[in-house]
Amino acid sequence: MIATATVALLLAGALGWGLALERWAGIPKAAAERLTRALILGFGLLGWLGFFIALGQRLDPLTLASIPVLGLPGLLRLRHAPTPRAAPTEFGPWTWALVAVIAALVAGDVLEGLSPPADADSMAYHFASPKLFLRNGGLFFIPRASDGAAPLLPQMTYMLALGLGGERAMTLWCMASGWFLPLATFAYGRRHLSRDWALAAAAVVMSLPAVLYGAGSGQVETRVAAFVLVSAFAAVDALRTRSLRAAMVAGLAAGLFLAAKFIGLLFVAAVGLVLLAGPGWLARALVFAAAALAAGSQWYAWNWWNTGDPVFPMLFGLLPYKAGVPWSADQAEYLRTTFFAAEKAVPQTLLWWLAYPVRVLVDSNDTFEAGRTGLGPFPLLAAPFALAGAWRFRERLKHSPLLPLTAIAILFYTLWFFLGTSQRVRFHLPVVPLAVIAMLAAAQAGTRGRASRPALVAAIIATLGLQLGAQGILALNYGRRLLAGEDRAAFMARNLPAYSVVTHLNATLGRESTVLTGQRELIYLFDIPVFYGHPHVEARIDLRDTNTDWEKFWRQLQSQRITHVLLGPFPEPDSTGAAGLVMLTDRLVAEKCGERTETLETTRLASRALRSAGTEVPVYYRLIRLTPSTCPIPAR
Amino acid sequence: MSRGAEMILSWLWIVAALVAFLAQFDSLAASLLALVGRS
Repeated sequence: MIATATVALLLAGALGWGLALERWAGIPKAAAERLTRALILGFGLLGWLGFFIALGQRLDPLTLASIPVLGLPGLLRLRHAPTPRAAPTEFGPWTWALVAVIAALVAGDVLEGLSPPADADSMAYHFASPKLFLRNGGLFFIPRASDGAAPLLPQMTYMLALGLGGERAMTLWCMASGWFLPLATFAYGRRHLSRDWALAAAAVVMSLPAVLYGAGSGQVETRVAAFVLVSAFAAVDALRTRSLRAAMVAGLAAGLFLAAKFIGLLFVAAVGLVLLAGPGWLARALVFAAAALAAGSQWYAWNWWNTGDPVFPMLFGLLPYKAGVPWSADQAEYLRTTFFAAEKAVPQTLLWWLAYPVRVLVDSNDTFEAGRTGLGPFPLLAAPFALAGAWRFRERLKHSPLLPLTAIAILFYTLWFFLGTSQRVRFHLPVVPLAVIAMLAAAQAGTRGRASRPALVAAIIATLGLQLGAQGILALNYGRRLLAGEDRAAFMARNLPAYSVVTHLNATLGRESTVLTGQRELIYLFDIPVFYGHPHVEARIDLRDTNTDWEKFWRQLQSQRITHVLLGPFPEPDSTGAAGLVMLTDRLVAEKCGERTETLETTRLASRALRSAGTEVPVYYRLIRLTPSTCPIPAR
Repeated sequence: MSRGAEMILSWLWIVAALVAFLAQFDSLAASLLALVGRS
C-alpha cells in the first residue's frame, strides 16, 4: 500500500513538475505529446532535485517527500488541456491487436515490478548507491571508475522511492518509469505515423530485448532514451520554427541525459552539432548549451570538486588531481588496457563503423551482449523498406524533420563508436527509438500501395511475436514467484547465488565490521558496511594481477578499516587463486594476518530466466577474518 | 521493378533476415528446448 502510494505520488509529482516546466518553457503541442513530455521532464526534475537534497545531507522522509509534493500544484495545468489533434476514430482489428500486445508486455513488466530486484548492475550501484546514500543520510563520493563516480540522476529518483516507500516502491517506480519510453515513442511517433503505426512503433520499442532487460531494473538506458526523444524532437522544432524556447527544451532534456550517463556528453555534442545548421545557429546553440549545463552539470561539478576531474578518472594525466585522490598512472593504464580493451570486439575503423550496426544484429557474442540485451530483429527486417522509402521520397528528404532526427542518431552512434569505451549494443539504446520512428515512417511511406507492404507488416508481426516470447520467458521467473507464493528471501536465494551468504554475514557480523568483497552484485544485499574491491576500477585497494605485495595489501585493508574478506565463488571449498584478491588474501592467512572462519556453500544458476537441467552447480565462499594481533606487520 | 518481383524480393528478405537473426541463438534454443522438456 505504501509502495503503491509512493509510486502514485512520484508519478503525480513528476507530471506536476513537468507541466509547470512546460508552462515556463511555453511550448504548446498535441495532447499526448505534451503530457508525455511533461512526465519525462518531471521525472528528470525529480532526479535533479534529489541530487541537491542528497548533497545537503537532507535525506529525511519529510525532505524526500517534499520533492514530489512541491510538484503537485503543477497538476492544475491539466485544466488547460489542449484540444486533441483529431477526433478519435474507432479501433480497428490492428489497433486492438497492438493494444493486446502492449497489454501483455505491461503484464510482464508488472510481474517484474512486484518482484525484488535481481539484476547484477542494479545490485551493484543503480539500487545499491541510493541505499548507501540513504543509510549515510546524504551523498558521499565513491572514488570508483565507471559506476562509483558516475552521473546518477535516475538513481536519485530511485532514492526517493526507496526512502519513501521501501524496496517494493523502488521496483514499481522502475517499472512505471520504464514505460515513459514507449509512451514517448507513441506520442512523438504520431508526428509521422498514423495511430496504428505509432502503436506498432511503441510496441516494437517496448519489447526490444535491451528494453525488456533494462526497463524494469535500475538500468538507465530506457529512461535516458525517453530524454533523447524529448530532446531530439525539440531540436527539430527549434530548427523548423527558430524557437529558442524549443532549443531550451532540447538542452534541458539533453542535460538530463548528461546527468544520467557520461555518454550524455556525446549526445549533447550530437544535438549541438545539428542545431548549428541554418540561420540563427549561434543563439540556438548558446541557449541549448546553457540549458544542458543547467540540467546536467551537477554530477560533473561533484566529481571535479572531489577529484579535480569532472569525468573521473578519464582525464587522469590531463588535469591536475587533488592530493590524495586514489588513482595513479599505473591504474589508468591498467584500466585502459584491460577493462576497456575487453569491451571491444571489433576495431574502431571506418569499415567497422559501417559494419557494426549489422554485425550486432546477427552476432550475440559476449562483448556485444546482443542476444539477450540487443535490438531484436526489427532493424534488420525493416532496413531495406526504410531505405527504399527514403529513396522514393528523396526529393522531400532535404526538408523532412526526419533528417535532423536521423542525423542526431547517426552522430551519436559515430561519436560513441570512435570515442566510446564499450561496444555493448545496449549502450546505443538511447538513440534506437529515434531510429525506429524514422525507419517506420520511411518504410510505411515507401511501401504504401505497393507489393512490398505485406512483407513489411509481416516484419512487424514477426518482431513482436519473437519479442513477446522473450518477455514471456523473462516473466516466467517473476510469475513463478507469485504462483509459488515465494517470499523475498526465497526469490533472492533463487536468483542470487550469494544471497544466503550475505544474509548470514548480516546476521552474524556487527555494524563495526567491514567486509571486502569482489562481487559487485552483493553490495545492495549488505546491511553492514561493505567495500567493493575491483582490480580495474578501484585503486584504494590494489587488486591488480600485477600486485603481489601482500604487505601493501594489508596496509590498504587497514586504511579502509576492513575486518573481513569474503572470497568466492569457488568450484571447490579450497580453490586457490594465482593472483589478485584470492592470492593476496591467502598470503595474509599464511602470514598469520587472517584466519578462515567459515566456508559457506550455495548454488549458482547459469541464467535467471532459462534454468534447464544441469545449470545449477554448487559454489563455495570463504570468509576470512583479519587478525591484526597476530600479524607481523606493525600497525601504523 | 514489377509488382511481382518486388513482392518476391521483399518476402525473400524477410525470410533471409529472420534466419540470419535467429541463427545466433543456437544455445538459447537449446535452453528453451530443455525448458519445454522439463515442463
